[in-house]
Amino acid sequence: MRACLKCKYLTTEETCPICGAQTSENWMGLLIIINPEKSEIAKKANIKVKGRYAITVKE
Amino acid sequence: MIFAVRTMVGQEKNIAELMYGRVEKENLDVYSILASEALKGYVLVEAESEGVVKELIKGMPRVKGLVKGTINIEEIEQLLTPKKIIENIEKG
Ligand SMILES: [Zn+2]
Repeated sequence: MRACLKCKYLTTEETCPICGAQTSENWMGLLIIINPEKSEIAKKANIKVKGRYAITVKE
Repeated sequence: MIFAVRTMVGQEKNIAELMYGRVEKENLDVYSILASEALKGYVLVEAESEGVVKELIKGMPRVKGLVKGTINIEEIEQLLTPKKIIENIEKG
């Protein structure tokens, strides 16, 4: 898996399907957002789309 | 409400995925699941109630149990914030 350098979304793609930014193989942590409307963590992390995210991403 | 589930060390991400699968399959009121390298032996689960988390982990392998009480969102914030300042200092 790769993580988006901008929004941290996890994907197999070279570019992020959510925001179009570049992705990286260098990431850590896993945050799975299931209900972005109800999740306080999603609000803190500014995540609005359901899915898997990294916690930290580096180039 | 955010709860901490004790897991076997090194299995945090696998268990998070296992939980995600069960949430989708059983349509449980779980809002998010967090596995961080900074938090070895635990997976954090944000859910409607403690009962939902108990239901989620029932019979789940490599799970040791549910920690009593809830976790403040402020504590989670520290986990979510990349330690950029420290990294920059280390790089010199
Ligand atoms: Zn992105």
